[in-house]
Amino acid sequence: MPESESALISRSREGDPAAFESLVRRYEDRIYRLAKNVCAGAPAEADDVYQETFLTAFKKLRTFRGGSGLGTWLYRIASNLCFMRLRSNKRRPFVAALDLPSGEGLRLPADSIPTPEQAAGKRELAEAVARALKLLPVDYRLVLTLRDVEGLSNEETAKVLKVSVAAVKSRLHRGRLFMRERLAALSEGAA
Amino acid sequence: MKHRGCGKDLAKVSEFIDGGLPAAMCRRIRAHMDDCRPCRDFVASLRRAMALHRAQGRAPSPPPLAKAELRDALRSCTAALKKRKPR
Repeated sequence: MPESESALISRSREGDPAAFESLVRRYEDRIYRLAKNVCAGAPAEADDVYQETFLTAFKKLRTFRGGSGLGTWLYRIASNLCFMRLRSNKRRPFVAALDLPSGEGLRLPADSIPTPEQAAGKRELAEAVARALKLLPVDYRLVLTLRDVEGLSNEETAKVLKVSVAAVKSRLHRGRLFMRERLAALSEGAA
Repeated sequence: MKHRGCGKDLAKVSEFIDGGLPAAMCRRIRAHMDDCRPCRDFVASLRRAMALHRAQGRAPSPPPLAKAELRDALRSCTAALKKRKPR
């Protein structure tokens, strides 16, 4: 039976590196995924955010109160690091198109072994998603990733980012509209 | 193509997709979409964009080098903390 998270946290606080290593293993994929999405197109930044998140957590574990869950706390540290690293993009204005286009032209890749053409298509789609994310302010990227990739609820996302649920809903809605517009336009442009 | 009268529903479309709206409002939006092809297509394209983001967002595990660097840094931190602890 795996050791409970609270036991691992206690042992980590007492300076047991093996216990903290177990916590890292539990959360590192999630933290890396968040960093990779938010630091869209900047893999070195994503690696740094991933590493700094756990180093910060290790140093500040004594201040962790346990009220919001370790995952929420780690997401919060990672989000703050993303903000700090990417803050020059924070105030970049953007306008999500709110009209009603046809919605045609966006196709998802098939889940089979890809041909070279399909592999290239998948790579192009990945690049298109990264390019679209990069145009969004960091707070929108964080909300979109926490909600639509990590699967957090509006309430959990609000806790991580220390904003209201209404702010999460608003950023999520506008961010999704922006992504839809960018991805549909790119797909139509390539056709 | 712009549709008068669709704007109110459009503002709620994210919550509609997430299932976060009251049942009566969901029924009203569904009834509207049954009669409004552009809104239907819009919701479908929004769902596709979300699925695409989700699929592309599934990054692999951290690169081995980044993992190794983190473990090294944690080992250094542990050693430094042990040195600082009073005997």
